[in-house]
Amino acid sequence: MDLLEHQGKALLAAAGIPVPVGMVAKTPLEALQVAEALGGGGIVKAQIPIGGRGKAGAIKAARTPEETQRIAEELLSSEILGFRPDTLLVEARADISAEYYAAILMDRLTRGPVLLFSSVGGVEIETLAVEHPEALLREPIDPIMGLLPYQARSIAFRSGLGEYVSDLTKILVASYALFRSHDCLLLEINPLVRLTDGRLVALDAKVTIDDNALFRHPELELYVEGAHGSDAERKARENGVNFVPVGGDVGIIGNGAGLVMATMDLVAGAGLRPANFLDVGGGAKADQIAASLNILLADPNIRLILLDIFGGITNCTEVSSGVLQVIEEHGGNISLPLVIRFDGNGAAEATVMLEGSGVTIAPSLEEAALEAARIMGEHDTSGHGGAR
Amino acid sequence: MSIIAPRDSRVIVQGITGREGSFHAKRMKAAGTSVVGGVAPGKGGQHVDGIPVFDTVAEATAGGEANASVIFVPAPFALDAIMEAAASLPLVVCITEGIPVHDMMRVNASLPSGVTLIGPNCPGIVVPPDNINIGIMPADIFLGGRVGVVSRSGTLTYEVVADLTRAGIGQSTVIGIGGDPIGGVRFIDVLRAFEDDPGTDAVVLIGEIGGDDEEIAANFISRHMKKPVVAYIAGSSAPPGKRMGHAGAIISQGRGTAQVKKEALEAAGVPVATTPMQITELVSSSI
Repeated sequence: MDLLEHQGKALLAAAGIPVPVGMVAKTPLEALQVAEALGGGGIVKAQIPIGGRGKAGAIKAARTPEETQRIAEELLSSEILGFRPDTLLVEARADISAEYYAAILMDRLTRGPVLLFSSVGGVEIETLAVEHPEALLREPIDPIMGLLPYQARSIAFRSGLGEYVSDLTKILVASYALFRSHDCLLLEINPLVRLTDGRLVALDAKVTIDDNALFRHPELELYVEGAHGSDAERKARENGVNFVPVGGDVGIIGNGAGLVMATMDLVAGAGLRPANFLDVGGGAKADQIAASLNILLADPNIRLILLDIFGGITNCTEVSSGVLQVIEEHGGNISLPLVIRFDGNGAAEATVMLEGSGVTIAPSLEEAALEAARIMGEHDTSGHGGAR
Repeated sequence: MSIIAPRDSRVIVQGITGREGSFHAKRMKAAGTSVVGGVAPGKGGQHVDGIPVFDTVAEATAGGEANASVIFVPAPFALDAIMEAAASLPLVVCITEGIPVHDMMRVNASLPSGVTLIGPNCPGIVVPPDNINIGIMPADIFLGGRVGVVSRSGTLTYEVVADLTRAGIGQSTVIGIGGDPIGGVRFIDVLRAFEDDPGTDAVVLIGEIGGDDEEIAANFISRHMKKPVVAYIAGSSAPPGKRMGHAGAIISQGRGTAQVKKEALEAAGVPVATTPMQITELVSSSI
């Protein structure tokens, strides 16, 4: 789960890491009020879960409360980088002397956390790694010991920031404590700024929390509910299926992440565009299959659905039940071609169950993809869609 | 010959009284595995399909019967179950999905040396020539033979194994190493074991996006393996930054793409199939 900037900053602040004075505003009026409370204008920042906000115009400076309100109005009614912001963060301006980069993330290679730091901040980490590799310091963190102060001091002195070693050490150590306490996969402060008065402040915060750990962070429940996700994604969560839209017109459903990815790859290889990843998991019941189909049927861009099931714990007959349920719900005729591939547990019976239902059963994964391509091609040349 | 799981595997099932645990304990037993006990705190003294249940792993292993454990315990308790097993047994197979990454980080840091962990979030290990089935893989897709299979996937592995079996190409050992970003044995550990295994002639590697396990494997293959390896990598059409089901299947900051993995493997002389079905063809030509 990617937290919004203001949510990340709330965690940072609670962990004792300095953040700018600011408040969340959900309306232009609130933005005005915050600006007044701040004693003038401020920086207005659209809260969207994506990087590159500055360049995309999602962060703007306002000199007066009225200008703040005007900018707020503009941002709240725009679409930026594919998102429609419904929340803004209005912060006091900072007199910046220098910008640094600090991040803690899980390194799969070392199977532990790593601290990345650079005295060159405010740019994308990828750019940094390419243009200033010598300025990017890496400090592996021991999973048992955590980030020890000597490591933070080492970072400070190696970066030429010995003058600020005390504050920097406090911030880095506190950042790791937060990383651990909140099951973070990423905690990025870019930039960590030094103000003209010498204080260090986290000007931005990008925090990613491990979805697998949400069960032990009930205090983040509110963030989960508000997390940017469509109705489809919410419905998928409620039904215990894993759904990731990728934009395309061939809907994909399968049991098992690797199998679903392979199905998407085969479909793409057949010249089609997968619309989504959807894994129903092991032992899926008819209801979950039905819900999954309905999620895809609700997407106006999807023109065909391919279901790929290898029954292990999952019984293919459950899948057929789910399919029949949905067909019935739609008055005996769903509006899209449905291509299904069964194998393993219950495959033969599941196939029999769908005889006469209008569904196309393919004998293999590859043939299912080819069949899908054929059907899509047919529809393109004949100029109309419709059930088969 | 069996790798990693001993020929005389005697397995206990942690979480045996739960829905998954009881289902698979019975299934493994029916498949010919020696399931010698189960663990469910507070349920010691009960039986599941004739298998004695104990309160603790220590009690279950006190008689020296067991040499492996398979874990079907829910994610919030999995770290605890793994460490309990590791205190008494040399082989731990963790099926559980959804374990927090920080927990696996701690397990990895503290697992006693000499203990082999397979998983988590994996379908387990099957040794068809010896009728060993530890985990959740359906017994009827396997055929005893000499091709080793190592995979990050579950059902995709069944897909490939079923296809090999249909072509009469049997398997020596099939290991699902799991879909999580931090876990137990990696591709390189299993490849090493296959290379040293007199019962394995060729290896199939099934990878996916995320991390660099395949790249590390490619490096190992080019330097240390003589046996042919054939691969398939799932996720060529996956968009960056999105977790594709498996916690470890994510292209992060441009790294972990299927393309880079394919290139690394091909550079190491490993043919990479364009479809899962093509693996059977490639294996046939290699042996």
